[in-house]
Amino acid sequence: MSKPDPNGNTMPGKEPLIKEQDRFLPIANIARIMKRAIPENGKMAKESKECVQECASEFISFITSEASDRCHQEKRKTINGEDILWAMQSLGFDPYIEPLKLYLQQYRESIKGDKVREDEEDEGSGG
Amino acid sequence: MEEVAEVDVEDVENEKSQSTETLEVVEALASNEKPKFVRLPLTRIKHIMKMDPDCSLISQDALFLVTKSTELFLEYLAKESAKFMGMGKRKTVQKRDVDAAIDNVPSLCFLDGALE
Repeated sequence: MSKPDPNGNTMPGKEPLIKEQDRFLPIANIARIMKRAIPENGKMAKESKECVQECASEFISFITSEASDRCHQEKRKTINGEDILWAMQSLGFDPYIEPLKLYLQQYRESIKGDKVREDEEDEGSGG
Repeated sequence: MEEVAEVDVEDVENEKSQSTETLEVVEALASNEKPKFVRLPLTRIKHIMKMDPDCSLISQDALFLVTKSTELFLEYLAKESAKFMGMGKRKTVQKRDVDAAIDNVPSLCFLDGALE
């Protein structure tokens, strides 16, 4: 039995393939999101989904790089939400900013709700 | 006397398709389920961000915003690609439609040459 490598893989032939796939988002998720944006009777060729899969990773890297630069300029170590919003504006994705702020607000409220529920459960059980 | 509000079916359907996500959030909250705010795996997104050597720590807000903006980006790219599919009077989005969108839409120019 071969020793597992740091990734936990024991099949040498499969190693590069798994690392390669980690660079991309799952194609099923990509396809699901794309489907919402194309006409109802439209289909997507496998090649087009794979191409968009690569584009998604490029987009993430693009935004991250810009946000990271700003973070460094301000001598901070943690990329925060403001850095991302700033990067979106800087790179020409202004229309995303307002929707993103709304989503973030909903998300924060949802997390707060979870924390309150957890605290309530603790009080009930712990005493 | 009970008043029944008249609802235009078309309006409801249009609203539903435009705000499907909002509807899902509302339904989930009503049933005390955690709404699915993101449709992409946060861990994988974080992994891709960390591939940048200059990227060290990422706040929860930042990770959420990158995830959400990627969703918006994917929808946008798909929509623009589908326009080229439509021009070719086809029903299947091909890779060449995505390439055409990258060549013609200014905000997608960063992808030019970035793909293998």
